[in-house]
Amino acid sequence: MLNINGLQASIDTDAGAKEILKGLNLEVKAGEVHAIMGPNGSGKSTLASVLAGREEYEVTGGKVDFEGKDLLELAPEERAGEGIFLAFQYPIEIPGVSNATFMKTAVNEIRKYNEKEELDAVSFLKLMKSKAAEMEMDSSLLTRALNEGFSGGEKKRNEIFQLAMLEPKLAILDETDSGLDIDALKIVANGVNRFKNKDNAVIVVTHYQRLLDYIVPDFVHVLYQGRIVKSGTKELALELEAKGYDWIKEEVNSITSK
Amino acid sequence: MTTTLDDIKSTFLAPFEELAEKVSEITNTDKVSQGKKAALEAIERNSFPTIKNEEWKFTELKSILSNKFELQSKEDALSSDIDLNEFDYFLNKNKDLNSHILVFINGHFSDKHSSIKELKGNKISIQTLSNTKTDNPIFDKFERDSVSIFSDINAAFATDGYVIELTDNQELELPVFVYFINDASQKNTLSQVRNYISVGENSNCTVVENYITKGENPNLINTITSVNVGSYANVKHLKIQADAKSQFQIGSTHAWQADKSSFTNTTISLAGKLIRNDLRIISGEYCESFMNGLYLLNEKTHVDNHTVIDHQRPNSYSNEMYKGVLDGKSRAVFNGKIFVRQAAQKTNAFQSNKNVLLSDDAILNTKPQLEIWADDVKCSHGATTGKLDEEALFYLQARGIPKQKAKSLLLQAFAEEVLDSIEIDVLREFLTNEIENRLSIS
Ligand SMILES: Nc1ncnc2c1ncn2[C@@H]1O[C@H](COP(=O)(O)OP(=O)(O)O)[C@@H](O)[C@H]1O
Ligand SMILES: [Mg+2]
Repeated sequence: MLNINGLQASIDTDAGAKEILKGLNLEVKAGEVHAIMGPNGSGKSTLASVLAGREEYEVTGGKVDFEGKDLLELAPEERAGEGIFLAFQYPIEIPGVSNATFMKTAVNEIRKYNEKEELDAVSFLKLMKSKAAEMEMDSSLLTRALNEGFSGGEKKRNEIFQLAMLEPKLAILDETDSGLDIDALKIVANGVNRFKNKDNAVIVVTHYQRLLDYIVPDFVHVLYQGRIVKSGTKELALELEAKGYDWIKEEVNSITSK
Repeated sequence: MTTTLDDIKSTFLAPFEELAEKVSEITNTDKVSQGKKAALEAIERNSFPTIKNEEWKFTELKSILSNKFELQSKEDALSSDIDLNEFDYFLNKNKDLNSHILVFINGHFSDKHSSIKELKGNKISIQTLSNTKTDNPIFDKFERDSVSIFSDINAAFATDGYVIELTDNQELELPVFVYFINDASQKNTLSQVRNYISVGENSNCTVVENYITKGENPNLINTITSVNVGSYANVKHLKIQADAKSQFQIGSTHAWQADKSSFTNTTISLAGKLIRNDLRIISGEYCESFMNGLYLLNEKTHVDNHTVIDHQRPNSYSNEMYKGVLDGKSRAVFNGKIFVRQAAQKTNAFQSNKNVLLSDDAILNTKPQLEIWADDVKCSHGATTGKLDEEALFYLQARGIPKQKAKSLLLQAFAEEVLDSIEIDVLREFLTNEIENRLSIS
């Protein structure tokens, strides 16, 4: 489904271009759940943003193939149309645009992109209500402006609600667990698990093993200094939880200094 | 040979020669007649403002004054065959809009295009200036207020206008929709209208001025609207500059508010060549004044809003909210003055001017000006100018919403606050649509 090959990306800063992703490889197949872990600042959010098409980041090398298409050639909205979904680490507040209007526009634009008929108001409302109920979202959150004044947990829940509404092929969850108490964490994880099937895939970016108790990964990768430096199965996450990242950093540094 | 300021003035005034003679011969002693004579003298004394004048610093009038305009006689103006339905912006096409309709073509009232619904009794009157005697006591309620030489030219030579009067305890249930149409399909047209709204104690009305141009020739409309708001009265005055791409417009609105009255001006500018709006409100005690503005500009449109709220008495509230979206090579000027006189203790005055620049070539000049002589007041002002929020845009795009549509959504959200204050559904919906269409193609 997703094939990332030697991906390099940098960002313009006041001090010149800063390279963040330095030749990253990753393959995700339909039906799989991948967890990406790694210390702060290693490039996890950058990877998620680059996949979603954020122009701020300049791709300076490598390729990303998504379902046979060159993902990097597509505008963000086309990527969404193709089935990429990014649950943001920090969902932005958009005053004046109601959550419901936003969602209806998004659902129908993606349907249009895929040459499907748009949902009428009644079917949309029905769908929205049932998905919101699954996420145990207060219905007032739907009529309010998008994310405006939402609590941290409500924002994250709203991201997974959008995931459920849009049913993408590949969901990238960027630290969706951060700032959630255990009940909210379960609601979010259940949402992801309901979404998950053999035809789609999930990339879970997280700091903590905790979320992976609920969303069980097939593979765990460690991203450090812009590369995937270690891959394994879910046991790797437990090991990281127990030992921290220092041993990985040491491994990497001893290799690079050789 | 260089053109001097005097040359410009004499070129502009040339079409008025005959009228000027008539005014100078006026012998009537009523306020209006004497006002005309005074205006005529002021015209001789004054010249057109240049950018050296602080109030006109960012609005160069050369583009207007380099044209030779013509006045049209009433006969000529009304003989042209104008079908109102040809204008997108003729809102009364929409059968859901129930209103009185007044139509002025090139400054002349067109009876056949207008329709005034039945008014009960003689407590409310909707009239034209040309049908109102100059010694009508209604005019005694208004003071002369000159913003520039354009005000004087208007005062001396305006051809017509509307005169709306409500005595005490009256409610004008339907809004009055006034259409000022400049027909510039044949000639460079100059039209001048002078309007009066006089509202007695505890009376309410809504008047919507709409500006439309037909044809591509340079054309100017010079207007003054004077509003007298009685105690406990509530007046809403709207100026919609939506369909006038080739139009120059110089217009001022002056409102005098008696104690405990409420006045709202809403000014929406969507199209035009150069528009200058002056809004001046003088507020009494326990008054509410609202100034709402929205300008949505593209190409080379230039819109200059100068507003003044003058709090002369204590315990009043004013709220000003102007928002702008600038694209292309457009330019907007906002100058908002708040005066709080020494007697005006416990005044609450708020002002905000927010702008979104969609293009690097658009220019914005914004300036708040607060002059406060009283010590126990609450005043605030704020101005922001920025691009559309890139992060918000990306969020919407990442959910499959194409960039243009995402922009349009964000800008509609931005404009909504102003549009929401418009209570006439047909008008609000028209403007919302207009904005949506405009933004999705820009
Ligand atoms: N917009 C940006 N401007 C400057 N530096 C950035 C920006 N985004 C990311 N970085 C830098 O790139 C590195 C990786 O950041 P990020 O992808 O957010 O890491 P992670 O999500 O793994 O914590 C960090 O050093 C961060 O400071
Ligand atoms: Mg991150």
